[in-house]
Amino acid sequence: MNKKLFNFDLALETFCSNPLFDDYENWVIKDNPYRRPIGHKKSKIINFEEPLEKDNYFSYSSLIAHRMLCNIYHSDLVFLPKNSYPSIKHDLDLFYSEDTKVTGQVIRPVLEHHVFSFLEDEIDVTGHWTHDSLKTYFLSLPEKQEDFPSKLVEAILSSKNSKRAAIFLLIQLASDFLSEASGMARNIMGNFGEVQSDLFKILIDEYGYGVHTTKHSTLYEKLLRTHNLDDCPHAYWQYYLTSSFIVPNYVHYVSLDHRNFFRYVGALYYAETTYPFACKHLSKMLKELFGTNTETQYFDEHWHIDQHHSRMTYNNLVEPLLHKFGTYIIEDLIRGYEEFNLVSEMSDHDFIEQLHFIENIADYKQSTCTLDIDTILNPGHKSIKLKNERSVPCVNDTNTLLVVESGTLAITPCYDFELYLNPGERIVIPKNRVYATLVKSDECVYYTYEIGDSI
Amino acid sequence: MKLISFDIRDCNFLIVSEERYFVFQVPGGLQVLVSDLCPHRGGPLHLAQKKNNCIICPWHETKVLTSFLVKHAVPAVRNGKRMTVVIDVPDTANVMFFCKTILVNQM
Repeated sequence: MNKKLFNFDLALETFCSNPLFDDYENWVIKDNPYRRPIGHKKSKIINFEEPLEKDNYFSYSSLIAHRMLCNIYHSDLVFLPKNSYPSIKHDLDLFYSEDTKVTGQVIRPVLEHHVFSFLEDEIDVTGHWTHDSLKTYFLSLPEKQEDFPSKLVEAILSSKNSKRAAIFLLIQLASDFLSEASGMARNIMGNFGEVQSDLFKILIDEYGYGVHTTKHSTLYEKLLRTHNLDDCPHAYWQYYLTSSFIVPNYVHYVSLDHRNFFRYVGALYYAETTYPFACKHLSKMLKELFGTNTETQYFDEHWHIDQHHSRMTYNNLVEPLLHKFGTYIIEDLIRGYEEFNLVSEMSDHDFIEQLHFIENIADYKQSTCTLDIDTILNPGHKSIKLKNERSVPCVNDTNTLLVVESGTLAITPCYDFELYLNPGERIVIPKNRVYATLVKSDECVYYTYEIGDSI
Repeated sequence: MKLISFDIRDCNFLIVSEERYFVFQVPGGLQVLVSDLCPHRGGPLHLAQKKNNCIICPWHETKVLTSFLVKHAVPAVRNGKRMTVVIDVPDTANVMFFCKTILVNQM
């Protein structure tokens, strides 16, 4: 172990240089949960010590930081390949190696500060809270959810290709649901009274009471297979939006540091109370799109069991903790509740924005016709790539004009969709939208220009 | 108890069942919802003067500590521009929302 790795910059460089986190030759990563491209361009300098702001959250640095954090958090979890051992033993050993773990832990606090400290600015808990006022606040949530429509479902159902949009959502949810409740499991160890046993009851439900076929992640694997999708964890890593990381990473973030335990409980209550309704909407949506007999057990199970989990979390965790520790913990409980609310909302909004980009990508191609390159003040970046060369999906921090000089380039904004650009053709990629490129001809020369607000 | 939500860009003063409250800007940036009534004789604290660590009621120049206001503020959560407060009145209580000049926040 090289002690110099405890230096942040060196640790960051070492972590990003890990071959497991390098570019991958295929879009879909088959049966290898350790290969997770970060996509950080060495030429791009990021100041991770500067916290993100909510208004410009889904930036390049945010995507890179969240990918790294996911890799760091998941190095505490056990992933085993389904069929490819021992051929990927080296990858397994490297993923769980000392160097990977230590460099990850050195950079983790800085990355967490970068992506989560905006929550302190966005949320305040003030005033003289009592047990009764907290009870009123928390117990109003189930009632609010009853008539609350799902903006996510509405966006999918009103899109031009709803089935593709639904599949894209299932892929995003796989980032969390295939290792469901791993964050929760961080809070179950140790010794902290009856509340520990009640939390364990919720956890064991998530794990199907030890019956593999009823484990929630197993149900999600079944759902993916129904739609001919790969059911291995992170097979679709390269298609994950930043928003697919933010919620599960938040749970790991508050669960890793047990000073945040009461924040975790507040977040858990919010999650367990809102998920039943979200799952009810999603189940209905899948039936509408794929037929009444389509596989929806994952969402139907959550509609049922999370109503119990919501009640259990409030009655058996929140209330006993309040009685035991007093009103001192109210601020943390509410903070966790509101933080989970906020990151969930941001996640939904980002997905809807990406969906809008996908749906209207042809317009983004057309809209560039009148843009005169000579008026763009900054010099473009020239890329010369060979056939099948692909980029790791990324975002740009400004609107970007991409112009193909020769060859054919495919733009991929989501799974199973490519837009081809031929010589002379151009497209504007809006800022903060995830996309990747793949060269279709023997060679392709293209330019990218930062164009600010001019679209 | 009643839950009341409002956008702090559009509302900074509430009347809930004839009780008045306003959004007070604590030095340092925190925003809290406090009773508009001076603890002395009920003067309008939103028209008070801010001085050092106090506000001074316009009626009898009673000094009310900022820390007192914060300590007795209405339980509230601000999430972005949305503030949600919990007030000990029946759920059917009447609520009126206003956007007023809060003098005490201007000094």
